[in-house]
Amino acid sequence: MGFQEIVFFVMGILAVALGGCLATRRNPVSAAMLLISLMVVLAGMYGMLDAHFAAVAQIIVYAGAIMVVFIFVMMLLNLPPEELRFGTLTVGEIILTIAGIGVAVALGTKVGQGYLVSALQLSEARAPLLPETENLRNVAATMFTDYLWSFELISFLILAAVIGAVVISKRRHGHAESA
Amino acid sequence: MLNPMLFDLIAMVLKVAVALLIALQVAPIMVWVERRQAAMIQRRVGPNRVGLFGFRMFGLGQPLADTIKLIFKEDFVPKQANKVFYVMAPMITGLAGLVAIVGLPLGSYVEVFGTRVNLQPVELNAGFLYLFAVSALGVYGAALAGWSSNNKYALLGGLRASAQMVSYEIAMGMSLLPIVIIFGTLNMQDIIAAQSGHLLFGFLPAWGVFYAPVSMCIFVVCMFAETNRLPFDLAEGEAELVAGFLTEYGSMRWSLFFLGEYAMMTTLSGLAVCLFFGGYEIPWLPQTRILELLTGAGLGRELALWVMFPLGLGVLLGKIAVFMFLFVQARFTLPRFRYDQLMDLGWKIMFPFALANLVVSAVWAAIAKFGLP
Repeated sequence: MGFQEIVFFVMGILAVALGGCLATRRNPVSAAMLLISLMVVLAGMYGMLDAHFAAVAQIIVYAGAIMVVFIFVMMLLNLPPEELRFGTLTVGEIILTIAGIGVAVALGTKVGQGYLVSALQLSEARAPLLPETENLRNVAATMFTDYLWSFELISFLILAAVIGAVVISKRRHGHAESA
Repeated sequence: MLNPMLFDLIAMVLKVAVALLIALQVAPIMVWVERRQAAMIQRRVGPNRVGLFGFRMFGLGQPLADTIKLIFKEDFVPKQANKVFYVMAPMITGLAGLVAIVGLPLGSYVEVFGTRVNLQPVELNAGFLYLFAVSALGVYGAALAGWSSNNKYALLGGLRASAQMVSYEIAMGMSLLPIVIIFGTLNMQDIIAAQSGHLLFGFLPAWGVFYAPVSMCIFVVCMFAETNRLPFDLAEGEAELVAGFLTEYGSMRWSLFFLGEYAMMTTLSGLAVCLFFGGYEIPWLPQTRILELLTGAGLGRELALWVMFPLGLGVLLGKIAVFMFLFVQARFTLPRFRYDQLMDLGWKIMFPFALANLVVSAVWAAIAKFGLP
């Protein structure tokens, strides 16, 4: 096993460990910071796979913009640490836990991935247009040829979500004024 | 001949070391420059006493004395603070500034044992987006410092820092897209190469600023906002918030914030220089021409390249110094914005202008490439 693979596995283990820590934090700001570190580690893993664009986009979009807004809201509301709830698990929680483990197995193991590929009848992805080192051009080329429709539809969906958010916040505001 | 992998590793470490040395030296020198320049603007003398070994040197010993003072100050953590994040916050800011600077090209290339070594310490396929990504992380330092200090002024400072960053990041990113459209690449070395070698209208160097002047203006304004410098230093705003997110900090922790801020200023100035002002290239005298001249004068090719490295680095640092001068000049000339004015400027002026600029550039580039329909 080469040096690179060892580093990659260490990063993978680190990412899972960070995810575990993140889920068990009581303080929302600690959880957010762990999520940011997790994203940076993931970006590093993308970078090691020569997916430089995915790595940089991960940091710009998630760590650089979305999480800043998360932290902003948490600080603005000054959320108190969540109280630990003792007692018995409810049926719903048990079902969710089992479903979560199922998703993790399906996506995280070779067996599960093979099953998903055969069940969904996904075709094998075609080879990249340009050599692997031209990562950015490959991303652009596939995004604006094969996936143009999905790309445009997703942007439309996001626009709809933004408009929805504005409408909902306006309506709340109106209620507060009339009350 | 060395093992190629070991060779790459050694070259990488040396390049990163040079970049980090530059970033670390900027903070003490800029502290002195800032005070001297402020004094000049306000018609005072400024710090001119402290020298080294009996030489005054215009007070250049001042940063050293300041550093010694900061090291010997009490390292204090307020009782109400969240200790982990309080300690971590300055480290994040400092680290983000230092990590970002390794993405700047310090020169074109040198040859060692016949192998070409690119003088950009870290070269990703995503090009200058790396610089952009890492510099965006610096804001967590300010936000966390504000939150962990458990002080209402600090918290407001942190909130302002994060809201301001998100608002200006968009306009900043969009202002750089026309450059990508015009030069057709994200690689900084390629962009610098495209800016040298030919002249616009026969006399102007083919700098990005002449292709995309609006982009340059928007980028420079956003640069001030991103680095929390006056007139955008609402996060500190000593007239309203004591010292904002810095309120509870002292000694070396406080100076780490400044190290990060100055490193970030250097990095973003360097980015502006490389994208809009031809990077390490001397205007009207491209490096390929210098190489011809030097080899013509009897220097070997490898040696000539080694002579050109410090030359190019000097030019790059000189251009960055002009931006630094602009930063300080603006700080002591312009009054601070009000917070709603800051947000209006970001969302209602910078963002639409950047968007319109992008559309115009894209249409223009398409016409230039494919002709009118």
